[in-house]
Amino acid sequence: MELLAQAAEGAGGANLAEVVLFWVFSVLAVGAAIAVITLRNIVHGALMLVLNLLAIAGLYLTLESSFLGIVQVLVYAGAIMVLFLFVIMLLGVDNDDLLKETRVATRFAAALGGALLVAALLFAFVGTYTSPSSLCGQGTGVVAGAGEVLCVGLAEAYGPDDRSGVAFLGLRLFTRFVWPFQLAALLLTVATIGAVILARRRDLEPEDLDVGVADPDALPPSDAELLRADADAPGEAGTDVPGEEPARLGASPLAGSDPTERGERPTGHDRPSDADRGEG
Amino acid sequence: MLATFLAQTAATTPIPDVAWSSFAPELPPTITALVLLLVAVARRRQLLVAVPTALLAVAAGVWLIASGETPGALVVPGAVAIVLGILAPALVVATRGRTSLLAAWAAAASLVAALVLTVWQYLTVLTPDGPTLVPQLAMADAIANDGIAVFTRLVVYLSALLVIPLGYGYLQDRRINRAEVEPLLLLAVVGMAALGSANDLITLFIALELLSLALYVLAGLARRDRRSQEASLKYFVTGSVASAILLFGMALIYVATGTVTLPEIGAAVGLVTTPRFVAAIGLALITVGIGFKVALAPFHLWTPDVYQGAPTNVTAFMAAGTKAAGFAAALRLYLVAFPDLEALWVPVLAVLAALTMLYGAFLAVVQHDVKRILAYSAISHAGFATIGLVANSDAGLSATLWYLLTYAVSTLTAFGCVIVLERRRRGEVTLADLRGVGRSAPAIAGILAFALLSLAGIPITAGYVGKLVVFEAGIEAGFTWLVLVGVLASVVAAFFYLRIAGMMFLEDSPEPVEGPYPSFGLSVGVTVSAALVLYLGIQPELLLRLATDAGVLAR
Repeated sequence: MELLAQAAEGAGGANLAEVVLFWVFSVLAVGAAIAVITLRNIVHGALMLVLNLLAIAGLYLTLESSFLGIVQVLVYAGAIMVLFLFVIMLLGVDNDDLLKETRVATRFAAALGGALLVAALLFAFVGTYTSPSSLCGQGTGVVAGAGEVLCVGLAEAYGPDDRSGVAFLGLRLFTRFVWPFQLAALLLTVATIGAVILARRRDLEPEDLDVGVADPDALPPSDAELLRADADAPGEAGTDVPGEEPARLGASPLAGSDPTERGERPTGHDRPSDADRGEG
Repeated sequence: MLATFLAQTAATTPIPDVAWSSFAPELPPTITALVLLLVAVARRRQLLVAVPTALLAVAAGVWLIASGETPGALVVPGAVAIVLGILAPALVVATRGRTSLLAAWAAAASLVAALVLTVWQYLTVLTPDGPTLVPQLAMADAIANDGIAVFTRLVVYLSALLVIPLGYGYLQDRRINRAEVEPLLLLAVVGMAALGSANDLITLFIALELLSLALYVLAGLARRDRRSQEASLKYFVTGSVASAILLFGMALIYVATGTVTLPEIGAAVGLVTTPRFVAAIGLALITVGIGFKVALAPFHLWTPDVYQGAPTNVTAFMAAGTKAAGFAAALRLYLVAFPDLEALWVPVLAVLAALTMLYGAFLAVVQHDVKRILAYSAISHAGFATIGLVANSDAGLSATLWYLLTYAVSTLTAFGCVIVLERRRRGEVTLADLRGVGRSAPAIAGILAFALLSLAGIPITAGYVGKLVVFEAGIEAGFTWLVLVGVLASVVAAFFYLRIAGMMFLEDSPEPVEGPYPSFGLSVGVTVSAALVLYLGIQPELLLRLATDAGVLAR
């Protein structure tokens, strides 16, 4: 706790409003994060995740990083969480099978992994950045061997006119990082093409492409034939997806062509033993 | 207000010049990919896209030739632009609306252009006087054009160029010859080339994602084939986890050193002020991420399923190109950014290499599907390539680069033959299906056997020279035990390679086997890659010297 308070006062400002805001937002963030993994209702969990992300955006704001804070709200709390909720709703709200991880060994391993991660992060950051002899002391630059400044405070980095860092970010994007920026544009192009390919249902219908080959007998089986063969022998070697209809991979779940899939999904209550253990 | 702001910022941060020559080889595939997407959308009005493209390209080419500082300095890029520009409408007219044929030819042309520009860049920009390569940093140090970059470009562009004729008929047979295939392939190749020249962690990560994302989609190209879908999903999920781990490692490296540029990281890691523990954790996570991408032993689990399920031409491209690009990134990371931590990564990578070689070789022995055998052989070969990295020397660097080239051509030949056999079998090829192939299709069987001999490392093939230089570098660096493990793995591997050859030539098939159905593109692709395997095995001097010259790093 003392460590955290120290971190809160880290910027040297030690102004009361900052400390209060820090504590409010950090308690909110940690509390919401705990709620995400403990709440039984998955929608409530998702909403708690929104709260967590908003609290972190608040932390960014107290660190005078308004651009990062706004982007956090827009991207995470906005876009990504809407996507999350979409997926949850599509899969069915009552489908809480995912919450019933009951194996003790798994829990132990998860706890161990979490503890290791926390230990590594504490070890890496706290000692390095909060001790009196830290690398980046309180906002002043440290001159490294080659005469370069390793760390500077926000004020030095942003420049006098731009308190939010947007211009700074833009300048860096278009000067120092212009090449990765261009590559990222290509990356988005590829992602878009991939989304289009995955979303097109027409590909799953067997006879929509005119191949234009004279002798169809001289060809290997088309994918439609392979699909039929697979459907006949579901557990064939080489595939590890039991009973998964390939056609459904790309089919829009909104179409609702299969009535048994919608609304009548068996819930966890069908298996009392699992449910009982899950409460604990 | 905006004007004053712009004036201020322009004064404080000069806008850097765009060094076009530093990424010139990447431009033709990128532009071709985007134009092909437009052409695919244009359907019957393809000329409406092709003619303006041609006009722009020809104008750019003329401008390039006229504007060189010294007369004739930019003749080659200018000529490339003009030729590609004229080809665009010519191909549209010649293919008469067959979009996939048009795409294949255009992609092949752009890859030839990329190879030409790579050679041009090497000869004029990187070796201005004499044979020694002068590494060039460009685009605000985001690109390092040194030996690794040049050699990686050669390997990945050559692999993609060979994959296009191999895949054309195959994709048509399986009715997955979609308009997006060639653009995705080209963008993946651009990602590989950018990965080979990436000089900072951000570029490295984005380039890696660019090629991975394109390959995730390509692996799942056969929408109606569950194996392909499974391969795509597995590749995507495991690859995303690997990317996340890699990104985490990069973040820790940034925390420890305060920079993302590889040479600056290399300088900062040695400082006393740098928290070495944080850097070590970052290095470990980066090793996991990179090991995943190149399929080193404990992180290889996705490889067999993905290689088996993906369409065979995509598998061939993954095996040849991704491995080359991934190892290029690994070489640059370890040799430029972490020379001061070599006490940490050299032993770890040596153990991983030994594990990988043995694991791949032993598990390949018990497989029945030919694609799966080649997948395990790919794992094993990643181990061999790591020996050169572990050697941690200039000789080791050029040995790994050379090994990746030989592996690329050998595996492309082998997968090309598998495509021919798949066409013939109308489906997957297992070991039992190979019986009697030597009698009914001696040419294909001979070429496949030759490619397998190269993969096994038998003399007069490319693979022999590759193994030789890698083992030499390993022994020079004092890793005799690792080389011995490598020899053991080679012997085991030779067993299953020869078993395939024996199946083809010594056993008779129970039922009469139909004739092979190699198409024109397949014949060309397989023949050219087999000829390359032979050429690199008999006359390795030229490219071996290039690989040795390429052992110059932009530090």
